[in-house]
Amino acid sequence: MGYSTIIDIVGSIIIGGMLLGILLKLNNSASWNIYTNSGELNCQTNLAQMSLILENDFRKIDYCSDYTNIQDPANAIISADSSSIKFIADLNKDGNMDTVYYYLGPASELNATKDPRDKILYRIVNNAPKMGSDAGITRFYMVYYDVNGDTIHTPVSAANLSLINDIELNMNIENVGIDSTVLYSYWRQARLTVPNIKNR
Amino acid sequence: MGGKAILIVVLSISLTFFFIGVNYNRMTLSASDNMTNYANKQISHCIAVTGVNIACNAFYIDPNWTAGYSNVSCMGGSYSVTVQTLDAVKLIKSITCISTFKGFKDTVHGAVLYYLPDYHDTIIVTFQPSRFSRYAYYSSSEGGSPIYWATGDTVKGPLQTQDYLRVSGNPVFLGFVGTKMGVLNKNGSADHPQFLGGLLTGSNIPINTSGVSSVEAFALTNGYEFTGHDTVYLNFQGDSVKYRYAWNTKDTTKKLSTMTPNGVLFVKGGTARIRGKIKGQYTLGCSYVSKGGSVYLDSSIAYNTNPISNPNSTDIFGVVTQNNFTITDNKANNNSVTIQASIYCQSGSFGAENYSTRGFDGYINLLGGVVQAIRGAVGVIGNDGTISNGFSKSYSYDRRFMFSAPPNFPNTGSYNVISWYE
Repeated sequence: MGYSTIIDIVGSIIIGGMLLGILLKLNNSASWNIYTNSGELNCQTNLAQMSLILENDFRKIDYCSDYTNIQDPANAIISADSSSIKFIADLNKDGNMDTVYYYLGPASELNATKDPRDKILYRIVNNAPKMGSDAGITRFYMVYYDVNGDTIHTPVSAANLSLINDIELNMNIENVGIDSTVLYSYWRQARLTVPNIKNR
Repeated sequence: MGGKAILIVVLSISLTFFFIGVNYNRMTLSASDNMTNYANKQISHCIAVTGVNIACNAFYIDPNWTAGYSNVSCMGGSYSVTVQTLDAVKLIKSITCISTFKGFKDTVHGAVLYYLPDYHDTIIVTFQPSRFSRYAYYSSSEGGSPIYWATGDTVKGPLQTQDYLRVSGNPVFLGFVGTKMGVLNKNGSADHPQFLGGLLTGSNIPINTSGVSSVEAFALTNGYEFTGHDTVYLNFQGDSVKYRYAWNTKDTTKKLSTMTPNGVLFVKGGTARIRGKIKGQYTLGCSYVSKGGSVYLDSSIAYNTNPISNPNSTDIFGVVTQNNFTITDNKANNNSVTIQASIYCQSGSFGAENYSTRGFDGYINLLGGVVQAIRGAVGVIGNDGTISNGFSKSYSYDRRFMFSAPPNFPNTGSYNVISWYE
């Protein structure tokens, strides 16, 4: 009789321990899955929002709400490189041209994240302090085309800036919570037409 | 006791799975919402682009079109278009297109389960009358004897010819090129003209045969007309002008702003001989009435504030002549000549007097544009390939003419887009 009680107690401890272990592992696994899935959701959300912002800004290159203050389209793009561009646009429709500068920062600025490749995409309007978003952007590059569809080599020389007719935007966004080269979101605007620079 | 513990364990596990399931479902729905929201915005934008392009086409066909569109169905949504006149004097107009896309609705047996919000997108296109001054070069005819755009020729700014565009070698056209008849290569496939601003063949923009008369009408309204004189000598002196009717008479000096409030001067049935510095915005017209109708450049004509060094210069000058614009063969013009203006020769040509017999007189430093019925000659190429008589050309396009024009300069009858909000 005493032995069976001890066996019962030991057995229940072992089974209870196993159940507890399973529960803890389940909790860990569920937490990790929620963490990564919510990170991927953020990744998708960031991609959608960034693409909308980029399309909104780039379509306004050389636009001015005051038609008497329209600038020469040949001078609309101030500088252009594969991952940076500076142009003029009347973003807030006040009749004054704003200078917009997009450029990709170095990966070393975001050493605190688990993803070693993520960078900040800076958007600077006029002389405002530089502001950027840590949206998990790991690649941001542009390809420039002239009116014949031929690629213009980057960095675009001053003489060739006026030849830019279309811009292709490419962007990779990864989940900053993990280090994975196979899990990422990719967006490309194959041919962003900028109507205002076609007046030449 | 053991049963109660197991019950608690089972309930705990069930609760845990329940919350895990809720979170997974929420994330899945959020991801789906993101995708749907982005897709709907793109569709709304495409509807707006479709509507505004259809409206622009209607406007090009009939510049007086103001009807617009109301709730036209397109791609599951709709668009509406309105036409406004922003400036009744300058005839600046705008087309506004607003799209509406109601997104995707899910229904069961016709009952709507949920709505997504409406999506709207707005595109505004602003137009201005297209004037011939926006062309760096225009010709109705390239001349009887073929004149070729050759290697070394660079044209900055829009170019239009109603004739064949004849090319030899590798001329470079930085602006948009339109040609009614097409491109003719002198050397076949060996020629490689570069159309870096685009090329449109079949483009038909006839010269405005009422250009001179329209300028005269403005001169009579609030400008100044010289009439009854064979020749009018005009020496522009900034904001005033000295004029006389014979080479050996005294000048009369008048302030231009009071002489011609609308900036239009006109010589009716006579010849205008011009020189000097322009301060302000003026157009000089010259008509043929049994005689006259030509303008002679007796010496350089330039802006008081040079737009090359100061792009904010507001000085603009245009010449609208019935016949020819000719660079006089005289001492003042035998060591290069500067012309800062947009030249319009309704029935004639832009050229140099005695271009084939005068000596080599340097360069024509033109800043502006040349519009002519028949392409004229300014020099002769010698046997060594260099200019032996007349002038070499150094033509620069005045990019201010893309959006500005001399007062009442002849228009092409159509409109061009000056601004596109998207």
